[in-house]
Amino acid sequence: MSRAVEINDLKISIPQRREDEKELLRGVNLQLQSGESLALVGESGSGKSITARSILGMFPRGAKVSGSVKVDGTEIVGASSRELRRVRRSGVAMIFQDPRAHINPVRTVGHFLTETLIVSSGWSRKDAEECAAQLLRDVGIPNAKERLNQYPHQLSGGLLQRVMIAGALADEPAILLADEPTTALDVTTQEEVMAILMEMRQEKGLAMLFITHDLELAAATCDHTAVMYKGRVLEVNTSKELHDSPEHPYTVQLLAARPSVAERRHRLPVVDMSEEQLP
Amino acid sequence: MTAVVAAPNNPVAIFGRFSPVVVVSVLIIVVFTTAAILAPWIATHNPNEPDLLNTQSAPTGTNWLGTDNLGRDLFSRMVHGARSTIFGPVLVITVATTLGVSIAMVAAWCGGIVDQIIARFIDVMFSVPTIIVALIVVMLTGAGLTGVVIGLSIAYVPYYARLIRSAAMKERSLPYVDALWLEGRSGLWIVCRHIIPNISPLILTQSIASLGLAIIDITALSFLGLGVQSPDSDWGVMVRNGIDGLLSGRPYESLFAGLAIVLFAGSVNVLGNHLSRRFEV
Amino acid sequence: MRRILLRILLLLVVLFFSVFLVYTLLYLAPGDPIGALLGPQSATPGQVQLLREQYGLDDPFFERFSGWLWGVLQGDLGRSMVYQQSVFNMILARVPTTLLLVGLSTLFIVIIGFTWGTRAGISRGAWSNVHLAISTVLLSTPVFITSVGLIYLFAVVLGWFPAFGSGSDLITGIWHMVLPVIALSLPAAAYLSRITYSSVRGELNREHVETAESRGFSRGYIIRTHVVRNALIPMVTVAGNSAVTLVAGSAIIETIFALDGVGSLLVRAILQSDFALAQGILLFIAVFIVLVNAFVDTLYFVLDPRIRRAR
Ligand SMILES: Nc1ncnc2c1ncn2[C@@H]1O[C@H](COP(=O)(O)OP(=O)(O)O)[C@@H](O)[C@H]1O
Ligand SMILES: [Mg+2]
Repeated sequence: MSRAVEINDLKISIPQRREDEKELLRGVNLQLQSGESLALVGESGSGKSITARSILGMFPRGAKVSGSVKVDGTEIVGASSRELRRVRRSGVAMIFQDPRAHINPVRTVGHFLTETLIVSSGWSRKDAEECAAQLLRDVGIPNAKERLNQYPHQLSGGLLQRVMIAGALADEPAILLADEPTTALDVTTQEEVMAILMEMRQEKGLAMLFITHDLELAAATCDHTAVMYKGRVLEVNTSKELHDSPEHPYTVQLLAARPSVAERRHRLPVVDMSEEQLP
Repeated sequence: MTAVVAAPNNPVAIFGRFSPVVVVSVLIIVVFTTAAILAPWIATHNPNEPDLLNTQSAPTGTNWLGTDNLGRDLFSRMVHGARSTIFGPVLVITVATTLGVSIAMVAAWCGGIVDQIIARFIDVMFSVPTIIVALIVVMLTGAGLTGVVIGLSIAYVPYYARLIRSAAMKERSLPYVDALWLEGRSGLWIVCRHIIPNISPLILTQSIASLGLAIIDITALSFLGLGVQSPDSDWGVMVRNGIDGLLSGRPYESLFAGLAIVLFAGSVNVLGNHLSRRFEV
Repeated sequence: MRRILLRILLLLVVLFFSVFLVYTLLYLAPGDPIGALLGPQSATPGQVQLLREQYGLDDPFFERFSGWLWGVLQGDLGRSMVYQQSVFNMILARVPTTLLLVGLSTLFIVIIGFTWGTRAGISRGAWSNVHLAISTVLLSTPVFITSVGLIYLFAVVLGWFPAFGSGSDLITGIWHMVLPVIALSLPAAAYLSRITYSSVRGELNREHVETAESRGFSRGYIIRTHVVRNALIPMVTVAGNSAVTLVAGSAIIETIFALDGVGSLLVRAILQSDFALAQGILLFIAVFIVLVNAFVDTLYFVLDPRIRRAR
């Protein structure tokens, strides 16, 4: 099985004017195999989003980056912008947390769905719209043709996140990065959107990095789970193993402090760890 | 492998806290204002006394900046002219601030229909250029500094009223106002003792920012012959008066007066920018 | 559509009130129009009375106002007391000059302000500091000083452009317009470029731009499609406002460059207390402001789908 994404000792820090550098990632190691799904779990601020963005070479402005990120064998750290664009265009697609903010409000849904096809793959508008309508049907949106002419503010959050998913699938990527795709939605739509996402992934055999702060959800949906804390990956294992016999004390605490089902949509509790307990 | 991503560009940098630009600006404002206050003692000549044997002179040892078309000393006219050019706008801003803040407070405090009417009225006033408002007033009062100051004061009110009204609205909705209200304090007391002090950084910043505009407007009206009347001097009047010399290749009067206006207005604007960044308004 | 009609209706109401206000103010003005009319000549009380009747100066206020308004609606703005001509014809004769000046300036402002602000907004280097410095200087420079500077440099020293006058045909007319247009445009262009700069900056940091980046589009495409297009919305307001201030600025510019337009006529009317003329020009300006506002509202509607579809 080939490695779709391989992250080795990735460190990202931001030089501060007065204090020491602000360390966002302190040596992250992760592997994502082709066609597999990997959940990245951790409390808010632990560096999950930064890790996902670095797979696309989208580092914070002014950051110092060291280590290695390989996507299908291409080194991302220090890559030219031309190489980065190629990776972003063809191999990897990202689904963002808040579709309302992450889709241009003054362009139509159709524009969002067709632009990768037209701009990157050189499709004709007509073909691209045909394809976009099909994508909308695939993610379970009826009246696809009319939806194409609507603007984001005319769609509910759940529908818009489906549009985001459809947009990510448009250019047939091999790797999907989903950054808390359901956190901004209300509980009932969360499940629907999650189901659509899993269905699409399985159908197309994509590798997926799924970011969440919900260990239960991670275990239910992904082959492997990685636990992040303060810019480090503490533990990676198959989701089942990790769930049944966690090794790292932080994971144990996380599981012990697992929120009840009723509270599941809330954030993970913040667990305090002393530095010695970390690897 | 190590890569450094391009650092964010920071436009605030050149107007930073101790930036030389701000220091120089403050210096210019202080020097010009002092000169205006001390004009009678600084001036080397009587600013209104013609000397027909010595017209359109270039700068010399006795006439530091040269003379105008009537042979009047330009340096002395500049320092005397600084008075109306600097204190005219200050007066405009003082009056406009007072009126604007009062109107805004009435609107924010009364709310409801009063606020609606005031807001509409401000909107309408807002769409009329300040110069036009000033022109209308000057037509009523006749040309002269008084008319110009009244006109511009009225013209600037909507700028304050709009900004301060919304700030006051926000302030009013804070819980401490309710608490004071329950304590039995009067509305006027709360406005004067709490709301106005709390939004005073905003008022100050807005005042400095509009002072720059007022300098430009007032000199423009003087330039058109609607403000300060001859033989008194004013930098705007001097730019106008110097045009004849300028066309015949002696640009000193227009040049010096114009430069003074740009320097002063520019310094005030730099200071305004700096303050608005510091107070983050 | 209903929104726009409603806006226009509101603007018309505003127009009526501003006209009424101006009329009332001038009615209350202390200056004596007959004195202005006669100038240095002396007249017998009988002659003065005759003139007062001729101009209807003794009629009650509302009669005069409604008479005036009725005339205005028929294109009759009264007669200038100083020039003894129909105000309407006087304005009409000068409208082309002013419209050419304001039109060319708007074009210049939009092009310069837009490209310059966008350029500075998307750059990471020294551009934005240079932009901030230059625009601060231009914003602090009154148009009359820019004008005088331009006249000295390009007309007196270099002799490239004429300093005064309107020219005789369209070609020489535009030739004579070069310096006035630049002088009138620079501060507004600097202002527009500032607004463009900050709104481009703001848009660049928006999340949807991150999405476009994650899709591997070129920076140029992202800026054209997702940044500039969104940044246009605040810029339209500013461009509209500056078109309005241009009319005021034209009063100054036309006076300096001796252009025979509506603005310089207004300044003269005020200096000579020619109330009928001033009233007519102010009315003309008010109509212009209303039209520009209506145009800006329409443009908003086209640019922002969130307004377009809102009920
Ligand atoms: N552009 C940036 N500049 C500086 N710090 C950042 C930037 N983006 C994120 N951070 C910081 O990095 C840490 C990790 O952020 P993130 O990856 O978004 O966490 P999460 O696990 O919640 O997704 C946070 O403390 C955040 O404040
Ligand atoms: Mg995150």
